Amino acid sequence: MFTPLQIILLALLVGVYTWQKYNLQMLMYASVVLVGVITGLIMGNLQVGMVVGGTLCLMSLGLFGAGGSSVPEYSVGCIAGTAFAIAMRQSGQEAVTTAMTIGIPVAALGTELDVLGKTSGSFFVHKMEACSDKKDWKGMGRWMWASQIPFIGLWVLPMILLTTVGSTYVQSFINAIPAWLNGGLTVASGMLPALGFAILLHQLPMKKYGYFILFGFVLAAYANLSILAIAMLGVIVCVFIYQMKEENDKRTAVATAEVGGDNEDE
Amino acid sequence: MSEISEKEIQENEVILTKKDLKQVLTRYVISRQTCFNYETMQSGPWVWSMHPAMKKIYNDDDVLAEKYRSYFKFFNCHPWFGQLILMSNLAIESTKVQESTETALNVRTSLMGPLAGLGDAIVWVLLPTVTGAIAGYQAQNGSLVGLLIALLVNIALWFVFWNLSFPVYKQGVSFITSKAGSLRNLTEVCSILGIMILGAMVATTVNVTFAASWTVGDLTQNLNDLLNTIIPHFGNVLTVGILYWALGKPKMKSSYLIWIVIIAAIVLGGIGFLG
Repeated sequence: MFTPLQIILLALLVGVYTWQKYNLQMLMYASVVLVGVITGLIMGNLQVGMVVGGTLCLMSLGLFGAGGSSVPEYSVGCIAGTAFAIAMRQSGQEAVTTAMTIGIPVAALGTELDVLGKTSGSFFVHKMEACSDKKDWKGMGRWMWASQIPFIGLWVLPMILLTTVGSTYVQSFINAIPAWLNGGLTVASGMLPALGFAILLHQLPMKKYGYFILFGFVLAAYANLSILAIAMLGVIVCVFIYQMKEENDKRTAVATAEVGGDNEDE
Repeated sequence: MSEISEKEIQENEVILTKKDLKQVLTRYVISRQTCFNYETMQSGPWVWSMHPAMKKIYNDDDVLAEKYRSYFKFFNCHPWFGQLILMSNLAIESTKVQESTETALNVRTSLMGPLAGLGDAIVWVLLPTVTGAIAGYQAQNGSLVGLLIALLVNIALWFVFWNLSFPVYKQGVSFITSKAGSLRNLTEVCSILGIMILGAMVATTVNVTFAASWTVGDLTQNLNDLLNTIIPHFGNVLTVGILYWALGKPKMKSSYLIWIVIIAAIVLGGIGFLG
């Protein structure tokens, strides 16, 4: 189903993506679309890669691991889903459905893989500390990089299994899926972005500024403005609030200084 | 540090060159969350990254081992701001005064919380949500312009942080602390912008529609149309509301909730209630 070159390139893509997601972070915006496009190129169908990447990217909005928390990993889901959709010679809506059927569970399992990786980290950081105590600086670096074996391997290995021994099982599984399940997955694709937004809202100061959610909603739902237009309006409002706050702080600072000065006079 | 005389600082100070700093930064950006763990979080690569500079400053392995014992303690910040804190710490270590490591660690601990908040708000909430939405829609329609915009924004911001790192070393901690008040305000308004944009995306990106309908006499009524007359995108609002409420429950984790959502969607879609 997959050529050896494709298997290697897909595993490499997952590995490089995982490393850059944690560390370099230079290609993380819209990374689901990016890996979709790259997978499309590897598998020889850019169109499917783009559409699947776009669909899964919208589902991934708002998900990010703040403060060490773990969230679903749609980029790896997108790589797996796109690869199978193209390998099964699908296109259009059929390809998107297949990619979602594989991609969503892979993304959801990603939460567990992330936790496993971070649990393994303790072992390596203690090894680093031990090397540091022995003034073995080279060993310290070696143990640090060794942590990437579980961190990256945890993602690459399932991908290799999926594209080699697992591929026929996945294919027959996809072919056996009844129509109602496909319908359910389409519903899920519309519903899952809501989870990302709910997670994100919990990390924002909703108690203090929650009412601003209405502002965005009204502009989108009643005024039918695009996201970019709403973002621009939002910037105007926020720059204004920022200036007010800064001036307020300055006034408070001056007031405090004056009070201090009076005390000295006495 | 005010009690330390200028003279003492000037006698011992080791000034790191831009080349030294680049070496530390390069190490940091390629490794900053390796060894991530739930005990000390990002402390491991921090020590590995600062090592070349620390070796130049102290040039004594025993001193370094002693100092690293402190640096291996808990550290967690937004990775991009982490590099700025690392630079401020090196600025303090460069003075080679007695309490430098203690001071540096205090600075590290006091800055990591507020800067993580700002980093999360801008680098991980605002920009990826907006650029991701644009890139996602455009890719669905067969255009990669949105993706290019998203990547350009990402890479440009990355280099802003890279270039900011050098003045942070030169001006030391004052560079960050002098702007502490502004940083807090900036975080707040960025959070407001984030909430607003999420409000908009509840309407545009979420897509929950009711397929259920019923017939009374000649009239077929569709649940979705009926509910949308109350408030547009009723299904979206309801879904986000329920999930937000569910996540507020103490025992609920997002890793459970994603499976609950998938199963609920398949069941409700399968029986034809949603579609």
